[in-house]
Amino acid sequence: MSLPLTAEHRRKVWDGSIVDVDVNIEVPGIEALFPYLEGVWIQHIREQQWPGPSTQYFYPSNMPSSVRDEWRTPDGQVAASSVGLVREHILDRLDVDYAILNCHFPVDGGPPDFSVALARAANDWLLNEWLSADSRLRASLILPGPNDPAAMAAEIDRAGPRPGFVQAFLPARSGKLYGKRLYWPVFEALERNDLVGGIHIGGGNDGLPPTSSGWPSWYVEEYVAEVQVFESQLISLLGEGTFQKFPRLRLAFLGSGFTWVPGWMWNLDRNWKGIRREVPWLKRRPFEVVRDHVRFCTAPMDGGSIAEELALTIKWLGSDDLLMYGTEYPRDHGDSLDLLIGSLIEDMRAKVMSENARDWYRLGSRGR
Amino acid sequence: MTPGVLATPARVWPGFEGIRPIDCDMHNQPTSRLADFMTSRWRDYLQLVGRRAYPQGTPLRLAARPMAQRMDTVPPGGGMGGSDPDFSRQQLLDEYGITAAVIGTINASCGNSPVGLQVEVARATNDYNREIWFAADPRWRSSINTMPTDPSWSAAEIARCHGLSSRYVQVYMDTHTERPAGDPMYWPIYEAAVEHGLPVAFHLNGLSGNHQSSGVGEYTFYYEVRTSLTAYAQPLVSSLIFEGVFDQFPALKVILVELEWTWVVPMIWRMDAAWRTMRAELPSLFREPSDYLREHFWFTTQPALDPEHPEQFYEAYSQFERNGFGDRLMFASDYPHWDMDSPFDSMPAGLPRATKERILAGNAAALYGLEQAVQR
Repeated sequence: MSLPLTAEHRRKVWDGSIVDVDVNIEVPGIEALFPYLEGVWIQHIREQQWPGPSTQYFYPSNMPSSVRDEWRTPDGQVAASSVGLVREHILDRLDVDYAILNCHFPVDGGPPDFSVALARAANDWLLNEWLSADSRLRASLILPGPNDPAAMAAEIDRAGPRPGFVQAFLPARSGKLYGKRLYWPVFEALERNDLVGGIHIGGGNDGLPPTSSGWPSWYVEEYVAEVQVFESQLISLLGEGTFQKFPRLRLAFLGSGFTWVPGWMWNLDRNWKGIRREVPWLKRRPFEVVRDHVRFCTAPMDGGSIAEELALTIKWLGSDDLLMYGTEYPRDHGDSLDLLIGSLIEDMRAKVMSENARDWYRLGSRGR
Repeated sequence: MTPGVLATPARVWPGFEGIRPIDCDMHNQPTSRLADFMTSRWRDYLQLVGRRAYPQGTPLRLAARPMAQRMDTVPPGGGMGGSDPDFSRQQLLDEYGITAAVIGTINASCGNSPVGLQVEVARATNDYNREIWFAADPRWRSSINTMPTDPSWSAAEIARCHGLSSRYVQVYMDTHTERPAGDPMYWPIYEAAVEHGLPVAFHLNGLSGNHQSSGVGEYTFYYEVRTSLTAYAQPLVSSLIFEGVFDQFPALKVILVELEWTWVVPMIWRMDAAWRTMRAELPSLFREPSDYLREHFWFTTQPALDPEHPEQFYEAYSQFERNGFGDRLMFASDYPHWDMDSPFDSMPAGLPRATKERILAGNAAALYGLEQAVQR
């Protein structure tokens, strides 16, 4: 089976340290944010009987892929919605040094002032009720927008310096590709605050369908093809010269998987040879630029079942530094720690399981 | 003349002696001659209104010359690359000793013009290819252009063309349909293809100017647009498989043209992993998703794989082969575009002889039912 479900299994497969870069948590209900919202918004929510932004589109709550069975709560509590659950399921069971919390709280789009108020409230909630509760936790900022880069940058400057925030959550479906220069204030703010930009599954896409051929019909159909959205973001960031404009920018691709990366980057390298005069800021192979600026979470791993095949893909990444272990708690993608460890050469294991993330997120040696 | 009988390449490429390629993707260009095959109603309409390509980014984006053509493909008498069958014959068929080349005419305009015009352009294109190109050299084969906005017309057009010539060897579908490719609205096209024993080839066919170029809106640079073609493959394949197209049409064969192939093995992994956790959504699907991918899909070579280190070509191709696709990769030149591939310069000469033969000719000969001319 996939994740190490017992402490013994984890120790048997991997006895070293673990940093989990993708622990997905939920706001248990919109009322949880009331202590952090101004009265006018609480009134607005109550009058409209608004239950809060829905994550059903990306994570239908009854699909096994959204929440692993054993992580559902018998009392009807929203899965992954409290420190206690994360502590029990991940921090203690896997003996994790650090876990990075990604709360997919979709407040992009909608009325701009409300979007800002909700993002601020969610970040204050994260700080007070999560980051203060366990020293092993780190978190991604929730941003308003993404059609409002000035507001995104302002929230990065407001909440980013507070202890425990190491990243800003950038929904992969951003409506406009992140390479577009209107996002420069966002990347400038990330550099200024020494935070990582985490491009993660999610986002309202400004109402656009998520493919160039309209809306997929089936959930599984859309999930399987989601790789193309990450591919598009990567090519946009490279093509537009984002990394030359912001030489200290660090990005993480989360929930994207990584097995598509070598083939896609070979593709970008080849066409760069033919078309590079159009994008003169790309002075090196795009793959080399990616190695300096982007890291990939291991989940979903999509590794088939043969360690040798996955090892080949990992070798093609051409660097030991690109992968960071993530469970994508509480999702179930069938990822297997045994397969991952089995496909990593010995020298890479500590890097993927912990060191690459420590380096990228500027984490210390141990959380406790 | 049957394919290949007199073809001899212009020179000898070491490691490829005696291999006579089949080209699965060449593009001709009807230009103004298309008007000769159109009714006056729509000829006059084009004079008055034109094709109405949506100006999304394209006027300012610096494309690689008109239609991305290689500069030296402009015929001696002028015009666009691919507009003169005789010159294309010299530059492509004679140069490399190609025994059969499948024409795909990138000529669709739909979504923002009257359906009557859309299907008229497709029909005229099919007639132009038959009357001008088939007549010019026996080695030319052609796609049947369809119009996904009018599936029942498309089905009838497939039957009409198939009745007129056996040298129409595939049905042409756009990678940018308005609904994902597996949507039941397109099933009449697949049904007709199966009925007439023709594979369906997906290739960019002009709609890209009218649709957002990615799932997150428009790209800015030609570098992005050109390089991202492969990103259309995953949603296209996912839609065809999960909509149940292959359960409905078990004999359907699909060719993904200019969509590369290194993404295939990772996609198998993801599809099957997803299937294990999400199958409750789609209990009607008969088999593991990767089974459909292995059984029903073919792939083409151009743009050729050019990895960071030469040995990675062998590693990637062996992995593709090992996962069940050894008879599924077919050479395509993409003549006359700037990034066209020579059959003999775009793959490592060090591949086993049998592999080179399969990719350059054997796999396509088997799929299209063409005679394979290999001199040993």
